[in-house]
Amino acid sequence: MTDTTEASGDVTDTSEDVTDATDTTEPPQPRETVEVSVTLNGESVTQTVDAGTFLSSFLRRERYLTGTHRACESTTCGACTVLVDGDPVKSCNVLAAQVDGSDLTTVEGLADDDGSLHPVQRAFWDTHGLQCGFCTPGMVLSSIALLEETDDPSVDEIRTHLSGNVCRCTGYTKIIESVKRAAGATDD
Amino acid sequence: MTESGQRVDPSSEQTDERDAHEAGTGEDTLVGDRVNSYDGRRFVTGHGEYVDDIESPDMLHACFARSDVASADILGVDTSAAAAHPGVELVWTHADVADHVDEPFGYMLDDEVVLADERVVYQGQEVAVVLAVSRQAAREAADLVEVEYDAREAVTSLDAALAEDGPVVHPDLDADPETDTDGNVAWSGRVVAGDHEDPLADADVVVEGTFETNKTTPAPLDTHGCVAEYNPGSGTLELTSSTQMPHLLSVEIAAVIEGLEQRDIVCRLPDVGGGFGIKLDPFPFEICAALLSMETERPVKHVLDRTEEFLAGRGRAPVRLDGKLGVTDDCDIVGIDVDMAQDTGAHAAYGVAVGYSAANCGQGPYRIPNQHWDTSVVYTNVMPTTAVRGFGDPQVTFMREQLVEMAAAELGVDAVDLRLQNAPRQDDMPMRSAAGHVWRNSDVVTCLERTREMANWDDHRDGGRTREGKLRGVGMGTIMKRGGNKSASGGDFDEAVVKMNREGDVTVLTAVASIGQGTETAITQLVADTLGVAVDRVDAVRGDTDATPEGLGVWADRGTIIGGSAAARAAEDLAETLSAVAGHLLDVDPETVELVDGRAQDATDPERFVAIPELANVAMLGNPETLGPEDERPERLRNGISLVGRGKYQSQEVEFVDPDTGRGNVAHSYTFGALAVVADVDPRTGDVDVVDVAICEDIGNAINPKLVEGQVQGAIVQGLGEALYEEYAYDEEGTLLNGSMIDYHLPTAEDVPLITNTDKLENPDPTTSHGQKGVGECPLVPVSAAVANAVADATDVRFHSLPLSPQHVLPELVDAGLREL
Amino acid sequence: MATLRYVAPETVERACSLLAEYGDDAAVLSGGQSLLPTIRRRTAACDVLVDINDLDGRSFVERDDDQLRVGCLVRHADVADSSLVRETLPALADLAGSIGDVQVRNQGTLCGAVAHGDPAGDPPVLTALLDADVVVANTDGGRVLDGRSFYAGDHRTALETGELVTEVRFPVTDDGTGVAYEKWTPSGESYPVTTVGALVELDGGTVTEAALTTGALESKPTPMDEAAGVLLGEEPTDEVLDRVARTLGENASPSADHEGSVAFKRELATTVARDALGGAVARARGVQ
Repeated sequence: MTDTTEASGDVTDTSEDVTDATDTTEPPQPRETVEVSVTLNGESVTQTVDAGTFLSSFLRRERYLTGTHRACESTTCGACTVLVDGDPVKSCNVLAAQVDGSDLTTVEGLADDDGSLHPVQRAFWDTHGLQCGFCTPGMVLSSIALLEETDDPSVDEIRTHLSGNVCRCTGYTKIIESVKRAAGATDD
Repeated sequence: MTESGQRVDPSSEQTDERDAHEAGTGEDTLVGDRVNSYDGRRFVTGHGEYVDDIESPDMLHACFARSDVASADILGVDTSAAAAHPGVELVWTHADVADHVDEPFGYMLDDEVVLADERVVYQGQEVAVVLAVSRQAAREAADLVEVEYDAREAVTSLDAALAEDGPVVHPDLDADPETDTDGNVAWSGRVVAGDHEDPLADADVVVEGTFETNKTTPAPLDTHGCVAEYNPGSGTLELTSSTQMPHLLSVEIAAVIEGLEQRDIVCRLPDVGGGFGIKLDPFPFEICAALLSMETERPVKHVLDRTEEFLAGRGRAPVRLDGKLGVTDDCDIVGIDVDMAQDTGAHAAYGVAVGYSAANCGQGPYRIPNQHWDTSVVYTNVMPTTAVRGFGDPQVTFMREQLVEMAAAELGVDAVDLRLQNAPRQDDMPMRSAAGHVWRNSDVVTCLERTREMANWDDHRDGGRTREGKLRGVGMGTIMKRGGNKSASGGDFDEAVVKMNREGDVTVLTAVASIGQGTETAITQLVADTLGVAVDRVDAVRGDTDATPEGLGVWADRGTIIGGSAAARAAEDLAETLSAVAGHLLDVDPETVELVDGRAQDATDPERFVAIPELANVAMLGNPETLGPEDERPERLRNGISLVGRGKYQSQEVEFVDPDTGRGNVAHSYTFGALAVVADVDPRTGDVDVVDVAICEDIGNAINPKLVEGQVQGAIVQGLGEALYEEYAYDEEGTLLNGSMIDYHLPTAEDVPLITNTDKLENPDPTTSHGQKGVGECPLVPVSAAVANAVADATDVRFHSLPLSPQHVLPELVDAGLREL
Repeated sequence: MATLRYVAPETVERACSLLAEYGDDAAVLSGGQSLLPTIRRRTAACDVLVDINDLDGRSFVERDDDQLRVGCLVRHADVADSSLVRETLPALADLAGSIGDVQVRNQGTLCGAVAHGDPAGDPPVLTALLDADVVVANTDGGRVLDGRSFYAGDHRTALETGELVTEVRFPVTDDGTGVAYEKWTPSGESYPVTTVGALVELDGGTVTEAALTTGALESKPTPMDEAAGVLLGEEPTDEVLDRVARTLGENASPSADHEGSVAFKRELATTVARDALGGAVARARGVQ
């Protein structure tokens, strides 16, 4: 019988090792901690966290990646947006446990190793699609996801795609222009 | 500097060289260039450091138990369960802080306490504070604090607040003969001009109405917060706060905390994710965090969560205005008579200045000889209000510009023509307005004409039907926005330092705070331009009360005018030294030395130059081997060649107003403009869809047009949010019903049009360093008026209150017989 | 407050036995978009989260004869983007594409929203309107519940403790029947204030079947039978549809709140119903 309060990383923990559907081993029990393995900005990371740890807290407090911001506590503003397997997701409303096995991208993972900006980052800066910067990581990541899906989105498509990212400073015009500019840049 | 670190936008000149002197203006200057924002690279890479990003191993976290009722006596507070919660260090109530603070306090009126004592005056007020090892533990423990309330009748409307024998929000203040508080009136005043006893006497037509604006919050994404760290060895408190005015904050905090003087407090800025005016007041949470750190000798952090930000983060005051405008048959505006009451919430904060300013500036960009304004600031048991982008102008403009269009309708003339007839002429300036403003070199006539043109006013006016069956109209609002403020701060000044290192790189020390608006970027441009260095080689240290000279922060549209001018003077000071050194080395008169493109060159023979890095090195070392004997050098090169320039800007223009008449030049300068909105009203739902916004403002000189556009667009969209979507909703007991981002509707990208129909005039202000005028707040001011005027044009239904959201619009359309299915 | 516990079973049987074991202390975590905010705000009653995302074979969107089957791990985004859904029940694709925003649609599941029973939720409206089959697993082998009677009130459904919704089966309508879903929201990032689902069957130019269900106005999806009755047997002219919509508006019983008065919400419901009716009639006629 697995001790549900067992410390992390213990080899006798059975909750992670069952992969076949016949389920002949001990079934998993609810645990207060969870081991989370992800590829985070290209790097393999495995860490044990409290079960109730939200992905935004995992990123900010456990991995010290504070570029993902929290601003609303109501899953509205999108400042916490990250990419999970390429899809934009609000990290304040997802448990770290739920992304076990996923490929995560945060804003810190976008620039090249030599420091060169991702074309979308460059477009935002050049177009002045940011002012105070608080919504920016989420905006940039949502925009990257959009451009993966649609080469040359229309203004309305950009609006709809970014409706889950609130900005208080720019009024959105230069954000939309930034995405358009990035679409042009990634055409090359 | 890596290519990716350069701030010059590479798109407009596709050269690999990334020439810092872009062809934006056709002149060889950075002023007017579309340089990228100073902090932008950090922000797009996620390396901003906002207050909640600050962590240290020894940090403790504060969380507040807040009142859940609007008005009550406190019978008892039981903190035992909270104190026993795991991870909790201590729990304080008023008794624990009373001996350490000088209460009541407040930015303008002393009407606040740090923790509630005998009563609470609004839902969300701080009652107890928990200090714990983690934010989660502090939050859980704060939920365990039990407060026994004896509920009182809450004052939740102006009518209730002004009723005789009604409940009083601050009975102590009312009873105190030292305060001006009278019942629930915190302050009242007037602004009078001309024949103010009967300002409408000469009018042939009088239009009138009662207008009520909405309570809103500008909702910066980055909530209020601070980290306080007290060093018991030196007796110094370091306060890192998400604030717009670090120096003034240190003054205010020192005034409240016993035993701390201004010199004991170092106030620094984190990156600030938006302020919009609500990050100015000294807040109870900042004072508590300071006291807690002094007690525990550990860093203490408190960051408001979004619910707390809605409850207690402060916002814009709703105002009721009873206004009358008098016009002659010849279309001259002869008088205005207004009685206005500002629902300032439970504490006045900046409210007195807002209420006063709205009246003084309420006349707008018009020549109105006879004015009578009665203005009062009234307490109610709801969230306090304070300075918010636009100050008091948006509310009064909502009234005034509708009265103007109502008058035009009654006279049978075009509303823009009516405005033009009554607008001041640039040729008549400098001049004094009736309310005492000194207007310089501004052309609102062209602003009005340009806006009319850009909005296709003539095509849209008088209502029409779109292809989708919506009712379309166009309406206008105007701007006469003060830049600078003395009454709230005692003077209007800023001082800056510009220093150069031995490699010729520059650092500006400025009190200006960066809250997203980009003033620091403009400052680096002015400084780089003056010193002839690349803008990428200029850094800015901002808002640090230890390191930066004193200034008043960013509010009242003063950042680039006052702060920018100070930095420009400091750069000039350093430039004089560099020119003197170069002149000495090149053996030419320093007057003929020009600093440009990284060189100090002889203007008459530019091939003769010293590279600035070399110049800096020589000046830094000051050796006789390179400069010759000291007594053979010019005065400026003796006794230590300083590579530190300093400059101060003190506005000589701003006046203290006459306390009796309320008149005076309340600001350093004024920005004029006009804004028009084309709106489609959906007769099936009451949705008002703004399809175009046109604006033209006279901003003096756009140091960085890209940043100016950003401010214009952002301000307009905030204005649209307040005009169409946002309002605080309280029940009769003063409980907030919509304090979340789901229920308080901030506009998203789907809700607003692209703002690209913008223009500017650049008639320079003769008093500022580069002619710049205020920019950041202005475009917001006329938006709700223009929207209401457009809707009136489209439907003949005039809205006297805000917002014009469907729940308010559709019933009116039904009543007017305009509702369609 | 008890510490949160988490478990990710890999079979439906195991999930059900955990739900049965922990009873009211447990909650199902699929997309989490509705559940997790309550966890974060510390208002959730549960402290055991049963994450069903490891269940195999639950991401299907299939047509099975006359039913469109959506498995419990299908996200709103998947429903919105599915060409099968767009062909067989376009109203469901419209609905799924209108929920929240891109991020929420990437995480939230249709079945999760059906099970959650939020009065302002979108999926419950079509579930009730079309009387979809809500397929439920439990330790007794499971059962199938009727969508029409699934909702009892504010976040209250016919689900019992220990039960898990494994799929929802929407009826595939014949040619001649059209379904539409329309809503009104105050701004881009809000919950709807009014939603209406409409079903219209036309035969020889007259309406032979009609159903209307509102959402967000009351504590659960509300069938508007009197209004639907006005339509029955009539030709769906503009005048008739206007009358039906007005009847619906008059019969709606919303509560006043910060989003508006009762009168306002009734007016909105009238307009939204009119749009839903127009859409359903167009689809019944074969016009998309």
